[in-house]
Amino acid sequence: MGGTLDVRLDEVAQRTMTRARGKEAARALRDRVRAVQASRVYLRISANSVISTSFVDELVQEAAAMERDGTEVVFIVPDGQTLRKLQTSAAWRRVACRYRYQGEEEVRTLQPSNVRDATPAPQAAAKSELPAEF
Amino acid sequence: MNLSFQSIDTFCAGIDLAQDRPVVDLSLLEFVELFAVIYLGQFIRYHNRRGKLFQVKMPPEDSRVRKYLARIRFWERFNFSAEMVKREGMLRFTSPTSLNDIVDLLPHPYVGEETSELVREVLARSSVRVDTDAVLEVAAELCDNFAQHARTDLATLAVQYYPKIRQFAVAVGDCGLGIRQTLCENPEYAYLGARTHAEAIVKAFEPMVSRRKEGGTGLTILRDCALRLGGSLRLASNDGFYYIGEGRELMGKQACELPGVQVEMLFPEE
Repeated sequence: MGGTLDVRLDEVAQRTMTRARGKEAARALRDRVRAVQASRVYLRISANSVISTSFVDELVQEAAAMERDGTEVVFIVPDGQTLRKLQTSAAWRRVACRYRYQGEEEVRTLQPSNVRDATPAPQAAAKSELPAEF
Repeated sequence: MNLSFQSIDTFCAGIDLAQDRPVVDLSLLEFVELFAVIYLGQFIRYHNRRGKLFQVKMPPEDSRVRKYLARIRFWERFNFSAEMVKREGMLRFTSPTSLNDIVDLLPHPYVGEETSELVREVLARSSVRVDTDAVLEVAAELCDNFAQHARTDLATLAVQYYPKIRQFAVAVGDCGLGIRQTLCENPEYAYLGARTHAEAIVKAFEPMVSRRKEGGTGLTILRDCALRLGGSLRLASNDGFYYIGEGRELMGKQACELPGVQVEMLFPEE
């Protein structure tokens, strides 16, 4: 395996709002990593990008697959909002996910947790019991 | 009379579809909320396509609600009666989207991002202060859900700002397969065919539950978004409904059975 690959998200994705675009970005990232046989990838997410959770979810799945193949993937996140999306996806997929805040050196790992287990089921109700909003 | 998420199913269930020209009596209508606009529109469209042309008893000429329905081009979009379109002086949707427009959506792989761009433009032109990223994400998810799962050729998107309660609403409706039938295509969830629509809806809000092996997160994202922002989410599919808001999560059976999915998300202004 080779060295470190530094990729800006906008190099692999022009649009970042949907799962379909996330799949395209994940494929493009995989191709870049394979081309140089990188052993570590930094994926830099810009503060200017509005990215959806579905988009992030595709990248998290791809990162998990790369980790299984021996390539470390570190998401460099600009803010807590992006981190929350990573965390949501890592919990759904029950995978660990490495990240680093922009401007910081420390690489941290999100551990998978099942956030839904504690959520109570919705109550059965008649429509007349719903609160009026207007 | 007000038409809302709470009452629109009962109103539609009361329309006599056995008549050749069923009557939609809106003569006493004073207020209609966005979910009800989308729901009634889909109801009319669904039965239009099965040969029904509705007679509408309109609200009084000078009423605000009548002007509102004309402004959003409601009848022209859903009832397709040339006579009514002419009488109400409506035109086909050709102008850029505004805050009170209805937009028809066609199912294609990038309808979600195209729609979120439209909504971004609407918000940029307005003075409404909401979590724009969240609104765009929700709009994209709603439209993608339609394109991927509904298997019908048309859906409708509408947005609306309510200044009195300082909330921004995004609503999407279709008359496609609906949630239960969609999930039943996955053998893992085929058992839902014997359960109520409401139970199938609740299942669909769990993460990773989908008719396919991938995805299954769209409704989970909407739910999380409503919880995080303190907004609310209302959804109907066939005769099931789901509501989350004000710290309550409720589901149940509604009076009218309409195929497809009709959903509205309300975002509080910041």
